[in-house]
Amino acid sequence: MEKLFDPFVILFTAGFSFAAFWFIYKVIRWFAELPASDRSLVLHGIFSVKTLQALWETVSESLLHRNIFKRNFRLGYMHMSLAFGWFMLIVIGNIESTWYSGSMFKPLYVSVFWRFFDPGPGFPEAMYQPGFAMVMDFFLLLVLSGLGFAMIKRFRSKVVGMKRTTRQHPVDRWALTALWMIFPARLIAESMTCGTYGTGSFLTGSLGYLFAHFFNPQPLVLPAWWFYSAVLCAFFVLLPFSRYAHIPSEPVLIFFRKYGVRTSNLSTGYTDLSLHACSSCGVCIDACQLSEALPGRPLQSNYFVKSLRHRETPNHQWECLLCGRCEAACPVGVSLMPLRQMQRPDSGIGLGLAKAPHPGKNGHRVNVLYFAGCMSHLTPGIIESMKDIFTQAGAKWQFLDADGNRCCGRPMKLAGQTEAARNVRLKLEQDIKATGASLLVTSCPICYRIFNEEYELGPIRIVHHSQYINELLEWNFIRISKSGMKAAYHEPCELGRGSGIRKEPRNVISALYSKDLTPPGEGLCCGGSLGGPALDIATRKAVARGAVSQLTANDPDLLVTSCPLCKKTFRPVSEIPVMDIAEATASCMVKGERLAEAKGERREARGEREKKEIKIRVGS
Amino acid sequence: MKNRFGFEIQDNRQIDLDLADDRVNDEVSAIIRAWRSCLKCGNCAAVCPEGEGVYKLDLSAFLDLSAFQKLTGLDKCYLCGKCQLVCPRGIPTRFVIMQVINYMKEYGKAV
Repeated sequence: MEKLFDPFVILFTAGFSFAAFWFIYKVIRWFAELPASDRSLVLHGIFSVKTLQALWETVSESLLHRNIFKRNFRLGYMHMSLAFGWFMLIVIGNIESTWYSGSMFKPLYVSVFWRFFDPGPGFPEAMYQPGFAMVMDFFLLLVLSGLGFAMIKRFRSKVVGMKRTTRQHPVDRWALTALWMIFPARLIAESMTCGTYGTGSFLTGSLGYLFAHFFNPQPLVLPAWWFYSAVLCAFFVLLPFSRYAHIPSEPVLIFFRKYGVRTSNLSTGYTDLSLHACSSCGVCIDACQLSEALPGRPLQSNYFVKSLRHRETPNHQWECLLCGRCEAACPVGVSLMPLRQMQRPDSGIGLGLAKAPHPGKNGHRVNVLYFAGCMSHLTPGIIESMKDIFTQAGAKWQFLDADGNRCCGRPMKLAGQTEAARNVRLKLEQDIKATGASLLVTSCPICYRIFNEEYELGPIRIVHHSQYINELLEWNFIRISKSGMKAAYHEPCELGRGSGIRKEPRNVISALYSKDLTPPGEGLCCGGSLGGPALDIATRKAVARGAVSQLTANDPDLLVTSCPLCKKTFRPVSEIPVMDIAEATASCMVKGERLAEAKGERREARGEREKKEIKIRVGS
Repeated sequence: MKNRFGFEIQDNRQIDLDLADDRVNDEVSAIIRAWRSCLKCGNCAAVCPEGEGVYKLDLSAFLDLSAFQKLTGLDKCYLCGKCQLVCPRGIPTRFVIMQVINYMKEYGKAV
């Protein structure tokens, strides 16, 4: 065999080595900058079944792009064909070159430029060659078809099911050009070689035959391979600085995540890794409702991540409503909400609040403590309904914030004021514990989320009122006369996406109303969120109108939500009535009889319920 | 002395423009245009859980930095956003408070 070298391979080797060394350096830094606890998680996870799970996730997400397939078939095909097709070209090219060169250990460029070194017949195992050539041509065709979709997407993104596509950073544009040229360059270079020697399969062979028909391709073989090598070099040199850094970073993110590393409040190696793993695919742009309400403003998460990566101060970050729809839609699974939260500086607001605890009203012992939250005090209908429900259920309850002046601290946290939020939390924690209650019911998903995530309340169980009502219905503590109306449920961001409470409110809705006309899909943002303080009222209303028109697509009689803030935001823009789930329950509840005939049943139920509560407590 | 509408007119109705320093006001209203449209209706004060805060940003603060400095209630703000919900002019009051505090810190030393 003649020597497997030609000067053009130097370009590729140089470019690839650069990218490879950058990646190794980055992986070491990402690992080194993890907090010690996360590092030990990774080290303990490596030799466990988690590695295999992560490997499978890498194949199904990084190569096959299952998540994007679920969203839109053509978009999934585009991503899959580019990633999986390219990967298979590398793998099969490697097998082919190993097979024919007879050596496992050879420079990397040999397999990349194998068709140049071995254009076709003349080797003893020639019978396998057409097979390899055909498989290689098939995967090249797969990649080229994906490339076709990618080009169409740039100009007409609706074809692949996207309303909008990402506006590119200049570096990304250069890298994109290089990437787009790689595969046509490969096709032409291989076709030139195949045309010269009369080899190749259905794609390279036919194109080579066509070339040979019109001119003598031999003098152009070397220039074509030089061009291919140069394009590869350009792509690999640009890779670390462009969005294509996600290609090597995404598997690392998947592995770290499988080992249990999460985005925390502090900037760690994992944060930097997440920024690199964002492929800027633009799925978050369509998920963001502000794309409709504030068209043309680059505030979506891919722009946000990009500005952080390029070490710029993110623009428009106070306009984000922190609804979390982008995070739910992200095919890579980047924790975008903690990343955004991290960028909000603590400017010391709220530190003047008195730190002494509120005197607790612990005159009599109660089981149930009700915390309405400041927002519910602006919709007293919810509080009145909850009072009715408590009375009807015969609960021994106490109203913690009857005076309306208590804060859970989450609005401060959303505005970046973590220190003040901590002070408020410590104060309220003491007050809650002082009542001696075993169950804390809140009407506000914003309060619920921070109670659940940050408060240390010991054995006190925390529920949102939709969960509480669901349990009352389940255990027959209240009775419902079913209404004939058709309702649609709006899932508040803090309750559904934020706290994972999706089933219970839907159960209540189907118990109250004859038909649940909630449109399928991810919950919407009402536009009233406390996450985006800089948004003006017009934009908020535009978001709310958009959400209402989507929610009322199936023509329901009324809209039910479980958040006082959503209710207030929707009411002015909705043509059909908007109700909180507590008000809906109170309006359908059979009042007065106190379920006397069901007393025995109730007692039984209460016993079981206590058992259940104990189980939950011991479990937690 | 009351006029015929029943209002009392005070003798001295001067504003000392030599002392006026509206840098904070300018910065804030450059970011939040709606800020200047405040009616002083008092809805925000009515719902404020802390009883102090945004409603203290009264007209005098438009002209005078020292008026901002007297707003001791601002650092007690919960940022709960109730004032924003009831504002008839739709002013993003939470953001106003955050910005005022930021600029106060920036200019506080200069004064």
